[in-house]
Amino acid sequence: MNRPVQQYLRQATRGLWGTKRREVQAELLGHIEARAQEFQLAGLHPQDALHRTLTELGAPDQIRRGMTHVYLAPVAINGVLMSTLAVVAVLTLGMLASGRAQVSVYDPSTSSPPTAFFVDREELLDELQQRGAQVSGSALQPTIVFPGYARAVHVDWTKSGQSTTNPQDQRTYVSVNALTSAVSTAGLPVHVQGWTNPTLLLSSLPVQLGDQAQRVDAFALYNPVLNEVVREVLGPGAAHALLATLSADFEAARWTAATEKVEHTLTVVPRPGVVYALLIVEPGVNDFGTRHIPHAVFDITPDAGDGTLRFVLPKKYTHLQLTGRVPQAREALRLLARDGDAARHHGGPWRPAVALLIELNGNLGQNTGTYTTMSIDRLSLGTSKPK
Amino acid sequence: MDANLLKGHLDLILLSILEDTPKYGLEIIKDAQDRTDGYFDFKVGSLYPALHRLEQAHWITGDFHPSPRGGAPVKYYQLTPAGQRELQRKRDQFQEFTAKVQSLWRFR
Repeated sequence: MNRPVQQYLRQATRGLWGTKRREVQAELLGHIEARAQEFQLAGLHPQDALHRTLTELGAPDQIRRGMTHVYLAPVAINGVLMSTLAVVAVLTLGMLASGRAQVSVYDPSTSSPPTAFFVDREELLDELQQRGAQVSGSALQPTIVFPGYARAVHVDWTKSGQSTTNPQDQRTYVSVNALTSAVSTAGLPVHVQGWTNPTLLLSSLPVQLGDQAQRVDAFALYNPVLNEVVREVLGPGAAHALLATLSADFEAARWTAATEKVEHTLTVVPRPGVVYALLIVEPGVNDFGTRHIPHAVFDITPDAGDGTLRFVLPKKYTHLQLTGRVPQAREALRLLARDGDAARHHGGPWRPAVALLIELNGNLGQNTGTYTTMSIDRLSLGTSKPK
Repeated sequence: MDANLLKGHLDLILLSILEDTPKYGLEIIKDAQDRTDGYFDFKVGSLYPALHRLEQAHWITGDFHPSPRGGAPVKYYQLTPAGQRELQRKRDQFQEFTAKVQSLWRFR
């Protein structure tokens, strides 16, 4: 699509989000192309025809204001009626009119667990700009300067697996994990708040992921943190060529529909803003029976509201030795690597799997207190979970 | 024409234009111009939000169809049964209003 047209459509639909935004953009694009074609038939050069069409359309801000009024005003009016204080009403209207940053999410993953969180590139960058960030560079290698931070963030979505096209809407979706990693590498804070439809805080700019129509959870956002935990379990001597990017072959039963599963239920004192991970690290064995990168079995869950945690693992892990001590997990890994028989029975009654219980506090920054291990030392017996 | 006059009767005008056949935005603009000798000249900035408002009110529905001249699909709008009733109600209201205003001038 032509760049001025793209820019016009973006500006005209600011404040809308998700399907509605795309629908209005598609409608305006239909109008633009049809009108430009008429001008061309009347003898204008294609570029002149387009220029004239955009001029005739008028300021994109006029459409944006009108559309915002149609889709956000009813909510704002409710806010006013509910409020007895005029000042509160004014604030409510202001907040709604500015629109909360929400971007569409797409899960292209056929693997388990999902390797990253993918969002609409155009919507993401547009919302960041609207929030005051300066974006330059190319579409898949943007440079972003966040308000209050001089240091530029260089994002690279050209690498394998960092961007994808959704065949349903033909739009480009990019990895949020690549973005959070770039922001963190530049020394800026990155946090995730909430579990269902979480809010990502990039420096201080909030980006809400998902909505009522498209519910998502924060699971895949924590992949880099889990990677760090596995690195710590492996210890400094476990250098491997693949470890530069991936510390293990990850497996999360929650994401496999076909296999039988086992559920481990634990109780903790509920803490706001914290989600929990259970992690087992085993020696990896490839299809030829030779050594491979380690195998990490894990699950992440928030508490159910009353401190209950329900972790879902593959069916073989019926017996767990819960621990908060990384050296114990490292030692278990070392012993398993030496004893193939023990590895075969790992997770069963004869050889409970050492599982680390971890608190994730929402910090996604690199090596800056992204997790803490919990103080626990007991057995856990899982119950069979229906498919 | 006076923009306030157009604004005050925008729903009636749009529902009237869509009464016979489904139309997309550009067609609506042209139809309004052609049928009124250029008296009604819609601006895109006010037309599309108005169409979406009518759609939200369930008086019209919109569907994307291929553009008659190729290119990106266009969104055709048509009246719903509720829109037909609303058009009739607004038309009656307008005719009554016009008649009453005219009756004020009859004996001048």
